[in-house]
Amino acid sequence: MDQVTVQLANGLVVGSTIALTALGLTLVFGIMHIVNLSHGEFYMMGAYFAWAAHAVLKNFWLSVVVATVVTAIIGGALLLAFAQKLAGAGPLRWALLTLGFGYVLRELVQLVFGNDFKLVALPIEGTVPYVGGAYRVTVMALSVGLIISLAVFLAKSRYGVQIRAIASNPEAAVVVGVSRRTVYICVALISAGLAGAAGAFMLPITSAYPSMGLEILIMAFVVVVVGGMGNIQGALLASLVAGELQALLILLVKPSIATVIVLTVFMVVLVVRREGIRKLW
Amino acid sequence: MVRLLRGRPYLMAFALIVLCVPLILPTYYKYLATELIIWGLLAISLDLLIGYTGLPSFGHAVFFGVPAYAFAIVATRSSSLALAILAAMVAVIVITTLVGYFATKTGGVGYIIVTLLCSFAFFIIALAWTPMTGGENGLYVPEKFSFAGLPSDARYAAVALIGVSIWALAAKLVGSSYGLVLLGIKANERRMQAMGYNTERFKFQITVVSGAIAGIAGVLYALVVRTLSADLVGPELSTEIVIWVLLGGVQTLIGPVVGAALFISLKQILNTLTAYPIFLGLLFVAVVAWAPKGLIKLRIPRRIALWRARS
Repeated sequence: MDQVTVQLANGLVVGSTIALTALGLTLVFGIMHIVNLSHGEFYMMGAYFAWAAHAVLKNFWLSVVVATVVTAIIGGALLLAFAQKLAGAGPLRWALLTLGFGYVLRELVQLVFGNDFKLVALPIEGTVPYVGGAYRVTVMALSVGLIISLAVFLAKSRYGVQIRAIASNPEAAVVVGVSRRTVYICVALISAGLAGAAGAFMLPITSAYPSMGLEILIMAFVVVVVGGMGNIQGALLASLVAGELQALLILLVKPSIATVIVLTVFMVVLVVRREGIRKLW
Repeated sequence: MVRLLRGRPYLMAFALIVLCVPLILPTYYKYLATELIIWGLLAISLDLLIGYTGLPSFGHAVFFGVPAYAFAIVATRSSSLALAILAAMVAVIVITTLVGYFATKTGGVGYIIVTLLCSFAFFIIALAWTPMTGGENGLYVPEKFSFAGLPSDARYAAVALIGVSIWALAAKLVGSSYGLVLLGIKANERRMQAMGYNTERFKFQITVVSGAIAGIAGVLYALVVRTLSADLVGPELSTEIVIWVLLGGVQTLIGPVVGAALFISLKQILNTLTAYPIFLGLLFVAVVAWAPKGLIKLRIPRRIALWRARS
């Protein structure tokens, strides 16, 4: 029984990481119409930058902030650099372009940091009864905090309102004076920054390695599609389900098989409900 | 095929070159040319989806690798070549029906993601299901069920003949009224539906055709190269095929073949460098950003064109 509760809590941690990554994906798709296949590499960059910052600063939480900011700037700049050129280009070209980014970033990271696993010690020791490590609980709380603050930002702040305006009707929003440029910059930075933060959070748990981005990207994309492309609540719910499902299945089968089962379940959901789970409420 | 080529001198010349020229090359290049024809076939099959129907499949390697695996699995276990080929055909039918069904139920970006996920799922299965697929060791096709016994000329001629005839059939398909319907779906699916076409059925059918061509390429690969690994169904090959098609030129059939040949040769050359994926990635970016219609449609820069006109 203990094992099950620990796995349930684990599922929440995995789910919240997927949610952070998927939120960035769904934002950048919903507003800039970018299918970002390099999003996983942003996550990977976050972990590596946090590791590098930790080596210098010796303070984990400070390095998380540094990694988030640096990833936001690099990732955001990459997307924005081509946003003009590929405006209205359709998903195929964006997918290929960002796939190219992914190759380059992954290889650069390997050149700079090497192939081995980079690990830092857990910044918070100890366990919480029934749910497992204290650090995991903290990460979960922080992720939920980030997600809530993003939701408040989108709902209340001036930029948030502008972002939602561009998402629902770009032409009308531009006509009433919303700057598309500002919104794009905002969205690209937030999207890459969220992925960077998620990567940095996972550094003490999974360590940093070059292919970590691919693994999270697959899950994040499933979640985004099942949540209904560009839909935030849908993506959140789907990430929660994905995280829990995977964590519980690991009790029964090999991790790789668990991933396949989760993917299959979600694909069946997609076939039954083409628009995803967005219209459930 | 002869009727198709009549009155089309360029096609005929091209077919002749492909069929004959490598026969005078050294053995290694003959082998390389055989392999390139197989990859070219795969690229053609994807162009039918991306270029002519507007279905951006990012999981095309599944259509290639799964029949190849099915063929190899049966070939290593039984003593009948016919049974192995039958297994590959069954695999083609099952896999195209499955993916085709998924594909028609999702559209646009969903299609990209679902096909990519399919490829990823099969990659994991091929790695994890060791008793059947050999896992990380891969599978080795026994010599008596392969082209290994044939002289390299005969091997090349057989593959080239199959390749060129399929290419000719594909060219006929896209030139027919059926091909026009596909182009219509690519341009505006809603309008085609309004005109009374059952677009889902067309999309399903072309997925099956394309999958069958890719499956033939896969079995040829198993016959010629004889070693199969999980990479053959994986997302990496899947996305690479898309780049071949885009690099050469979508909606041209022959462009993707050129793209595949260029890309694979480039990879062979760059392979000696340690950081070669960086160059491949930069190539992706450059092609998508600056040559979206592919290399064979790249317009000659204006200055050169002017200079040529003057002289």
